[in-house]
Amino acid sequence: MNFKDRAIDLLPWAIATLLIAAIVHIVSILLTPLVAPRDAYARLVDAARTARTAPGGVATFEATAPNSQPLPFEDPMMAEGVCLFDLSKGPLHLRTTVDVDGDDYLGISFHSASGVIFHAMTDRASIKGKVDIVVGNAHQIAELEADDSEDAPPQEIRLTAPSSRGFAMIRALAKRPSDYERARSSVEAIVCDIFQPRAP
Amino acid sequence: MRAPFDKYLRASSVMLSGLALGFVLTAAALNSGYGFGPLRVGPWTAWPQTGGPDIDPFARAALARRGEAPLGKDQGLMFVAETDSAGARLDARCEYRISDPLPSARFWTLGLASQTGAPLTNPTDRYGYTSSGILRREGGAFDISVARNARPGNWLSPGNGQAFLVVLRLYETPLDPGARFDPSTFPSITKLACA
Repeated sequence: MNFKDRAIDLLPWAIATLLIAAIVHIVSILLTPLVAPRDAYARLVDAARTARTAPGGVATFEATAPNSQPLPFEDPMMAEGVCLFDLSKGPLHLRTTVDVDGDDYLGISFHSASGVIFHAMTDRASIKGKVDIVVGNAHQIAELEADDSEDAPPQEIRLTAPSSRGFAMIRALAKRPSDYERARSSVEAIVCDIFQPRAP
Repeated sequence: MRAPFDKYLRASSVMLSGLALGFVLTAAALNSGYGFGPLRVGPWTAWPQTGGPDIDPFARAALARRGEAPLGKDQGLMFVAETDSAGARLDARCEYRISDPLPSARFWTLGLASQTGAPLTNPTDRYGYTSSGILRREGGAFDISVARNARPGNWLSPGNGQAFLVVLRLYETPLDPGARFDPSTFPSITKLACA
């Protein structure tokens, strides 16, 4: 058997190897966000257990430092807090209690447990200094919309979450190291709880 | 005539090598950035599409494995530099100067981090500067010294490790991630001397 015959003989096996490799590659990439043991959600669930929980329900972390950081690649100049949510217990209601003055950066991003940001905003997007957001699954949001009356438009922004568990990451910039406590208090002034529709 | 189990032997070796090759490809993909669409300007790299709902599966996998929660699209962009402006890897034994200009943004912060994204242990406990807190020369220009030993003015210490990263975060920047940028509109990282 010469070299050419041998190559033709092996070709289907080589193609089969590549096909299997491609399938394994694609499936393992798609599965990683679902099975990764130390993804952002898992780390935050861990960190929130030992973090200080503000009266409003936001778990706030110590300033990011070499031996204390909730997640990698977080900005050490930010005061950070997180609201973990599980929509099976009801829609999440996140709102500010102190008016956002627009001088300091305050960022709120909504992440699904599997790592997709489905909404992100800053204090610039607040309405008259207020942030009032309800996160629900498609069914809960549809229910809220059905209850809306014609002449009283809803006060809050409504978001449909792609998965029932996730977290809202809250970051407030400390412009100088001495501003850190002030930034942290603006994170703690946010309230996260289960949404209660107003009585008609 | 071949032995009857020859084909089975081949089939199982195809299975095993396909499996191994697939996992090697996945590991390689997860270790090289965050999926598609990096924004590279000089030594700086950002991954703008990690911040929105249209994130690709490779970026999701890479973020999940590293446990990161990136900034949202309308919040800002994080640029990371692994090298100086000349393309040489950043080395904590060397001294660097980071100088402006900076792209426009409502706020920015500039700091150092380890390769895994942790702040670097250093004697001053200062991990970075913000656009409001940095010392500026007359006219608003600034530069930051990166060195192990104290320097006058804006100074960051890379600690006792070896490799490190420079992380620039632009909060609420009007930059269009789809555009091409002139590296001269981003900060330069110049190597001064090595110990």
